[in-house]
Amino acid sequence: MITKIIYEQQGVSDQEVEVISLLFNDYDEVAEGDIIAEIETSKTVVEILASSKGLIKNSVELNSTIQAGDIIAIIGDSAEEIDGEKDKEVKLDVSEKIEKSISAKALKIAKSNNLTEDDLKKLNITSVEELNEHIKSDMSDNSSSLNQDFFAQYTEQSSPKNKLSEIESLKLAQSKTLPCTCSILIEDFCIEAFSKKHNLYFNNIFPVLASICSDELMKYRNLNGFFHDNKKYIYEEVNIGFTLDADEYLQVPVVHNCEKLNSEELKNTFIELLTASITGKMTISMMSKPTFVISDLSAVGDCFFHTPLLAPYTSAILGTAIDKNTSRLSLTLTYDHQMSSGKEALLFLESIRTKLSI
Amino acid sequence: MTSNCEYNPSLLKVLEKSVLIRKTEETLLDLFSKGRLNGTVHTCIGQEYMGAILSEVLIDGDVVFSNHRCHGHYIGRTDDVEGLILEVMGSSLGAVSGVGGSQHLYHEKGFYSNGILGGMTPVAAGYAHTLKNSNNLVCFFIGDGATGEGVFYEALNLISKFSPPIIIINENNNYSQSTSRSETFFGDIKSRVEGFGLEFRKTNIWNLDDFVDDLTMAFNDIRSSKKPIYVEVDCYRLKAHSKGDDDRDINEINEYFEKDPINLFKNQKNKIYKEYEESANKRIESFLEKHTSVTNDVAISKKIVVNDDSFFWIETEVQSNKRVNDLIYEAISENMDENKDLMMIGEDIEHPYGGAFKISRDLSANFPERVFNMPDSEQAIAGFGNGLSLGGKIPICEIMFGDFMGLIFDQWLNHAAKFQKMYGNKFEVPIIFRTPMGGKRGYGPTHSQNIEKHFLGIPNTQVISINPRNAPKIIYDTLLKTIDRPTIVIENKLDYTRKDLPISSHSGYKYKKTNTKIYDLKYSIENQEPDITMVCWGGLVCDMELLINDLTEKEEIVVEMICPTMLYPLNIQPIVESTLKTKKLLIVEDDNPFGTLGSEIIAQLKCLNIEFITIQLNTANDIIPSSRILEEKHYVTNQEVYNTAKEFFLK
Repeated sequence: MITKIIYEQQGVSDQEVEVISLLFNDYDEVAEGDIIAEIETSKTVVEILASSKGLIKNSVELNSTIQAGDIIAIIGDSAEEIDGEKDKEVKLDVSEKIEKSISAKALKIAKSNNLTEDDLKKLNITSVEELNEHIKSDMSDNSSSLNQDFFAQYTEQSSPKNKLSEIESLKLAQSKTLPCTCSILIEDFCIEAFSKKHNLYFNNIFPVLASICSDELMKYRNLNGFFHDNKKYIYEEVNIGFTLDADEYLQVPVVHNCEKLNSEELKNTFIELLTASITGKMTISMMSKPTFVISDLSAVGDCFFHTPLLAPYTSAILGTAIDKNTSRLSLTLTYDHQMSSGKEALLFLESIRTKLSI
Repeated sequence: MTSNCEYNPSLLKVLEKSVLIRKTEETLLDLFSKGRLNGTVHTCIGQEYMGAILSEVLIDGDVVFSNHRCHGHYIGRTDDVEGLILEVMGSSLGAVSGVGGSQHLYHEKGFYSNGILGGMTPVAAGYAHTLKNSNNLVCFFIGDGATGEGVFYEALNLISKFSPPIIIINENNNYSQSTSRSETFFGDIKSRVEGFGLEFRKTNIWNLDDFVDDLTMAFNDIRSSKKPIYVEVDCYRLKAHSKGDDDRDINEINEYFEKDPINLFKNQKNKIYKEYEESANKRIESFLEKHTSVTNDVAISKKIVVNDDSFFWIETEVQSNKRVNDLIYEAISENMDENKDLMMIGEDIEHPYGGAFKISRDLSANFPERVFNMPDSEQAIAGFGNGLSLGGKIPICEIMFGDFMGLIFDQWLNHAAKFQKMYGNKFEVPIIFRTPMGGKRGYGPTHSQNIEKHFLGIPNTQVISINPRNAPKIIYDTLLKTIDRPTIVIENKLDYTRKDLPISSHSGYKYKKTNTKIYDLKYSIENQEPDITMVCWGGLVCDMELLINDLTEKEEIVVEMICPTMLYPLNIQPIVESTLKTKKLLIVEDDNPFGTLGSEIIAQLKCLNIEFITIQLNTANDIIPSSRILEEKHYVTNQEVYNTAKEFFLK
C-alpha cells in the first residue's frame, strides 16, 4: 500500500518552502514516526515524519523549493510498488477551481428557450454566442434530415390514387399525432359584404385567410411543421393547401411559398389552382408538400363548426365554417399537441380574428 | 433745528427734494389705503434727507446700493418718481417692470436695492472695487438693524482690506421693525467700525444744514482720498416699519414729529414749503391721472422641463491625457489672457500656495489685479463676487469645499439668482462659483458631501458637473466665453488627479457627446441595442465606466450610460431617448436619497409618459463617516451596482 507524504502549508507565508535535508535514501526502510525530511519555513525548521512504515522513495530534491500540496516522498510495501507509482502527482488544489460563470444575458435568452441554468452547465455554455450556436444547430439538426428520406415518401403520400389510400394516409397522420381542437367564433360576419370588400371568387374566403395565416405562421412556427421520431420539425416555407371535395377523393391543391406572395398573387394562384381542378388539369406537383391546410365547408352550406383531420406531415389544419343565418364565421384549429399547445392555437386564431376585422 | 437755521441754496435744494420724496411716499400710502396697490412698502417718511442729498453729491457713474427702505434713495439718485409709483402699482412700465416691486429697485443711472438685510454690503463693496481707478464711488445705505447681520462685518473686513471708494451711510433710526436698538445692539458702533480700521463719522438730521455740510464733506473726502468712510446718521422714521405695524410710544413719535426738518421748514418757511409741496403734488397728480389702471405683459415662464431633441450625438475630442486639475487651470489661465474682465477670488488661491486643490497655481502672479486671496468669509466672498459681476466683471469664486456652499446660499439664492429678473431683465449676471464635492478621502461629515441637490431648481441659474470624461477644459472654456447667468461648477476631489483618457474597452464602449455648447455624454457600444440605461455624473463617471465594462464582459449586459453635464436645467431628452430603447433605468448617485436629481429625472420621465421601470441607488441615508471602513459602507460600491444591474437585467 502506497502512502504519500505531502507538504501541508504551515503558515500564512509558507506556501513555498525549501527542503533543507532528506534523511533517507531511496528504498531505505522507515518506521512510522521517523523524521524523513526537514523543511525551512518562514519561522523555523519543520520536521516531516513518516506516517507509515515501509520502503521510502523521495519525490523531491535536496535544497529544492516546493509548494504546498507537493509530494515530499512516498512509502510503499515493496520497491516495485513504489516504482510503479507516479511521484509527481497532481497538486492538492488549494484554491477552488474557478468556473467561468454563465453570463446573465445567456441565462435570460436560455429561459425564453425553455433551457435552465443546469441545462447550460451541462452543455458547457457560458455566453450568448455559444447559446445561439446551440439553438441554431438544434434547429438545423432537424431541418437537415428533412431533405433526405422524408420528402421522397412524402410526395408520394400527398397524391392518393384512390379513396382507400387517402383513408390510409389520413389514419397514419392521426396515429402519429395527438390531435386537439380549438375554436373561435366571429360574430356579425356577413359573407356578402366581406366578399365584396375583398373581391372574392365565389365567396371563397381562402385567399384572405391564407394570406393572414401565412403571416401568422411565421410567428407561430410550431403550427407549420410536424412531429416525427420525438423531434419537432419546422418548415421554412409556408405552403398552404385548401381542401376541395372532388368526385373521387379529397383534393388538396397547394399555394406554395405564401410567405413570398402578396395578397394579389396569392389570390391569382388560388384561382389558377381552382381552375385547374375544375377543368381536370390538376397535377401532382400542384398538390405537393402542404405545410398547413385550410379546410372550408362554407361552399357546401351553413355549418357551425368544422373540425377537420390533420393532413400528413402537418401540425395544424384550419377548419372554417360560415352560418349565414346567424352571420357567424367559426374558425377551428386542429393541431398536434406534440408540436403546439392550446394557448398557441388560441393566440393564432385570435390574431386571425384581429386581422380579419381590419 | 433752531430758528436761526441757514436756509442756504444747497439746503433748500435738499429740502425741495425731501418734500418731493415725502409727497411720493404719502401718495403710495394713500393708494394703498384706496386698495390700488398690493404688496407692501417701507416708507422713509422722516428720513428723506439722506436720499435727497444724493442729487447734490453724486456724479454720473456713481452707484447707490440700498435696502428695503429705498424709495428716498431711489428718487434722490434718479428723480424717477413716476417709475417708482408705476413699479409699486405693478405696471410693466415701472422701474423694474413690476417684477422687483418696492424693495428691489434698479436704475441704469446707478441704483440697486434688495430686501435681504445686510446682504448688499459685500455686493456694494465688490462693485466699489471695480471703481477703484475711476472718479466714481459707491454710496451704500443700511439701517441700524442691519448691524446685527454677520455678513455686514465680513464685508467691513473686506472693505478695510481692499479700501474701495465706498461711503457707508448708516441711517440709525433706533428701531428694527418693532424692536428698539437698545434691545438688539450692544457695545458701540464707533469702536466696531474703527475696530475694522475704517473711518467713522457721525451726524444727525436734526440740524439739517450741518447735516448737509457733513455729508457733502464726506463725499468730497472720499473722492479725493478714495478711502472708505462710515457715516452714522441719527434719524427717526415717522411712520410704521411697513404699513400700520407701529407699536412705538405715540408720545415719542410726536416728539420727533416736532423736530422733523420738513415740519420745521414748513413752519418757518411756509411759503417756500408750499411751493415745493404744490409742485410735488402737481407732478404726482397729473401723472396719476394718466395711469388710473395698469397693465403688465412681462412674460412668465411656466415651462421647466427641457426636452430638446434637436441635438445629435457626435464624436468626443481626442483626449489630451492630462489631469483634470491641469485642464481646469489651463482653461482659466488662457481665458484670463483673452478676457481682461475675468477675475478669480477665493481662499488661499494666491501663488505659491495656489489653492487647496492646486487649481489656481500661478494665476495671481500672472494676473495680480484680478486673482487674489480673500479672508475666510464665504458669504462675503460670494457677495463681493456679485458686486464685481454687477460692476462688469466675470468673477470666478472658488469655494474651497462644496460643503461650505451652505455659507453662500443667501448670496446665491437672494442676490445672484434674482438680480437679472428682479431688476427688470436689463442685464446679465455672469458669475461662477466653482467648488469640489465628493468624499471617499476620509475627510469626514463636513468636508465630503455631494450637496448639489440643494442648488438645483433655482430659476435663472445653472449648475454644471464636470468629470474626467467631459473634457473639463472645453467645458470651462465654453463657459468662460459664453456665460450669461450665475453658474455653479461642481468638481470632484478624487477626479482632480485623474487623467481624461477613458479605459480601453474590450467590449467596444465609446463616449459620444451632444452637439450642444455644454454637452452631455453617452457611453455606449455602437450598433448594439442596450439592455439598461444608466445615469450618473461627476465623481461616479469613472467608476461606472469601469463597472460597465466589467458587466458587459462577464454578463454580456449592454449598458448605455448617460452622463449629464448641465445638471440644471437638465435636458431630459438624452435620457428619454435611451430609456425608450431599454425601458430599464438605473440611476446611481453619490448623495443621500430623497429629493435628488435622480428623483427629478424619474418624475420627468413619468410625466412624459415614458414606460420604464427604475432603480435609484444612493448612499446611506446618514452623514458621511470619517473612518475608512465606515465610509466604504456608506457609499454605493461598484459591486453593489454590479449586482443590482444584473438583477435588474434579469427581471
